[in-house]
Amino acid sequence: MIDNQDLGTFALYYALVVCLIGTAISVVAGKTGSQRFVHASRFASYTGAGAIFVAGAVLMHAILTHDFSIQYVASFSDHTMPLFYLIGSFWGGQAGSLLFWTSVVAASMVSCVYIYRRSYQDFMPWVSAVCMAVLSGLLLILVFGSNPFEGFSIINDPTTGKGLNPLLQTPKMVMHPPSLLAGLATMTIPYAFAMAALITGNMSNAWVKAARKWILIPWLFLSIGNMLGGMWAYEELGWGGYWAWDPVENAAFFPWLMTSALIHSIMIQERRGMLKRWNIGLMIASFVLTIFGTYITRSGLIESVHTFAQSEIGDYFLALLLTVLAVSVSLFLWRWRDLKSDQRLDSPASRESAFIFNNWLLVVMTLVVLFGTMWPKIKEGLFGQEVAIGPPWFNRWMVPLGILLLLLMGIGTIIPWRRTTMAAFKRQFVIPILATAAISPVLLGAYWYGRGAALGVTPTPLESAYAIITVVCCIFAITTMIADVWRAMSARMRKHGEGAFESLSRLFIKQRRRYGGYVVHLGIVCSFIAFAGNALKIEQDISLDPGESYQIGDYTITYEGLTLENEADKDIIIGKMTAMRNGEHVYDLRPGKAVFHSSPNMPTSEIDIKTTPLEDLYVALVNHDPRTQAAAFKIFVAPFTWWFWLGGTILLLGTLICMWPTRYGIEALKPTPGVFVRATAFGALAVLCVTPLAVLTYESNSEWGSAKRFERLIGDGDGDENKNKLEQTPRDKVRTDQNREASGAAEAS
Amino acid sequence: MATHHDVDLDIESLEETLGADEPSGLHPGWIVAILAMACFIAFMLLDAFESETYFYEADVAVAQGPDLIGQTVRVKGIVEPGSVVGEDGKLGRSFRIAEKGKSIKVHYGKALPDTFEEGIEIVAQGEVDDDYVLQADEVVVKCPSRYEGDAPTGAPKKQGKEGAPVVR
Repeated sequence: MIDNQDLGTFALYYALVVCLIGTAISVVAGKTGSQRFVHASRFASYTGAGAIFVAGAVLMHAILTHDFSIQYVASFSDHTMPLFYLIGSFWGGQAGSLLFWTSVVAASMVSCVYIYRRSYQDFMPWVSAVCMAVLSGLLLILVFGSNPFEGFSIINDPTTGKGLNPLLQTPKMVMHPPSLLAGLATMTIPYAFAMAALITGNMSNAWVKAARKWILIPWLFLSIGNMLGGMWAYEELGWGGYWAWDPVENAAFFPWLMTSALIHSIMIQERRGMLKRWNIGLMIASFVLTIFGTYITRSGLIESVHTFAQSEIGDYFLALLLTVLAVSVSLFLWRWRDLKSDQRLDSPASRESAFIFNNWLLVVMTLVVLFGTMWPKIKEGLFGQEVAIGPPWFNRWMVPLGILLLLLMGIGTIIPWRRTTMAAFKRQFVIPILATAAISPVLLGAYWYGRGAALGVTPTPLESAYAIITVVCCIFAITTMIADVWRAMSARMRKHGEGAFESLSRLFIKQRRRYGGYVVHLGIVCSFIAFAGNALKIEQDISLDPGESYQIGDYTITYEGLTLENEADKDIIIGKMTAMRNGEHVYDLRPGKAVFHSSPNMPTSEIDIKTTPLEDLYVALVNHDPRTQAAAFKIFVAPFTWWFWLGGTILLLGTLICMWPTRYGIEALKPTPGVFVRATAFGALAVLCVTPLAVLTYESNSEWGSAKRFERLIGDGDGDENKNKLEQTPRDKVRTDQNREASGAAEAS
Repeated sequence: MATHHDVDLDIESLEETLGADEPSGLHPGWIVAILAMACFIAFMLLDAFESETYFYEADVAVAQGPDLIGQTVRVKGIVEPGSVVGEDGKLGRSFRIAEKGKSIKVHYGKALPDTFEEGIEIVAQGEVDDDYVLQADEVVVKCPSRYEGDAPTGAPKKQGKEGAPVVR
């Protein structure tokens, strides 16, 4: 009888062999152009991908049928998990997430090979070769380093699973890894096109034309992944922020920065045949950084709060990283001379120049973050002394660079191509500058006198300066966009006699990338407003007796008491508080905590966050005394945090507009069952873009967003298997973190 | 046509005239840009070296002796069982963290993370006072790992809570 273990492992081995052979076949196809080898290479890619999908299906099947003879299934799932989390446990561990990554690379490769089966004939064999080579590398790691199908010996067969850490059982956290993994995986295709261009020596814009369609996909997934991670940190972890410059966070940020630069830089090559070296370099950097990021995440090389896997797999990734780096850089240097620009730069005050500056700025930002992340390790290697570089340093350098980026966004929108004459400057820049100068004091003053002063915040002069400059640059970026859109609209209205709304829609339809891009920029501007709001953040940790009040900003928070529920499997503690402002009742707050007896060292918090566009009021219950009901809280008032989520959503909608397929694109998918496939593809894309906001909304308005969800996690009446393993906890000995001494040393520990 | 001395139709002299405008060597603008970049990098590096916080395991920190006083450091260690002092419902905790038998006392005035408890590895950052107590501004607990290798076995349970990472 073939069981899951054998089938899955066989599928992986088979896929590895096929991909290795397929790489060789593709190389021959590329060199000789023989149609037989081209067909064989396509066949190899479909077969290899098929084998990988089989392996994935087997693992999913094993998880859904609770096949605990497989170590991976037993480690990351259990009988009581709801279906949604069962599916999520596929990527809950090292080996599964690697298989997921491999599957996405395989899926993209198959789509690519199919879509371009009649075009890019000189590139496609090499694209297949590169994709299958990457797949071979990943499969080698899977098969030899981290096999998801490893089983137990019969003696060790467990009867139930270990389950997923309660902290991670929220929808956001289920979707964050696959999103990031998909972003890393889909980077392979545009990279393969760049490599194909270098190998064939075709230094025209061909690779760029192909890559530009694909490059938004990894960028989109990385954006969603980073956003979901930030949202989770903010809502679940209780330190009141969404980005901590942790090495693992940075690892997901590097490729995003480089891909952002590439997306812009490609436009210059398409228009004027310039920046060819930049584009190849940025593409290589984006791909290498995805592997580098994975390496530092999984090797445990760098101290991080996200410590993950153990060291054996780190070495495999290092080998993959060095191979990819060596091959890419050698090819790049080999073709360096052929990558000369078709045109020269006419003037430093031109759109081309602004884009070059943009490239440099994003590269510098990446290097700053890279340095801050890697320096501790380098210093340890060189001097033997371990050090840490914390968020203050990162913020000190990234904030001014970010502001420069924002300013450049405004300038780049309206600066003319080739050169800016005095007349052009007056025509383009004067109105936005005047509008910014007029609007900024009004908006800043309105906020300060309307709300900011009442909060009683006292930012340092530097923080205030940065916040004000950020807001001014945001307003500038918006006025330049409006100016450009208006100019185009009025031209259409005059020429075609269209109305305002019609001309605007037609602009969006005819130039999706440009106007979708403006929407994305709008999203970035909103995010910067949230960053500016951080300068005004108030944070307090306090402890209160029942009936006591505390003043934070202009809120008076009164603590009324606790409700305690001791249940067989967990204790639920909910604090009851009210917030008043100027004598008026504003909110009822219910921060809570659940301490599971099965894992009392991992209590889950339900932080109460009251969000308005102006500010967030954020209360977390930290600890409590069950006898006196005194409790300690962490309270934040964080202005403009909501704008980060709004910005992210707008960014995703903008990307949706950019990626909306053109008629030509649809043609490439034929012959297919037509409407159904197209509708599925577009539908999937739309769903993807609204996912983060949908998740957030669903969580806030359903059980997931309240302490009630604790009920679901353990499951009803299914805890029988667990009961034998639980240490029976007497009811009066409620376990809390700080109650250790009271309970006495008799406890097991 | 042939009789007109159309010098400007002569390709070579045409190129010469055009070429004459381009300065040889590096445009001054490039030099300014490169210098600006170099300054930026220099400042950034110097600032980084200044912002370094020394990171020690608890035993190494203790071994520093008097040098440790007044320094801002990050210390990693395992929370000693029985050493946590503090009142429920109130903020402020003192505890000892240990590594390889040596321990250092830590005091933290703010809210400890949910996952904090005895026997768990933490990193505390702060200034060491004259009594060799680390007055921490930041306490970080290792995030419970998703990719932990420990799989459940049928063997009898060791002393420890189910689901907890097995700690030395």
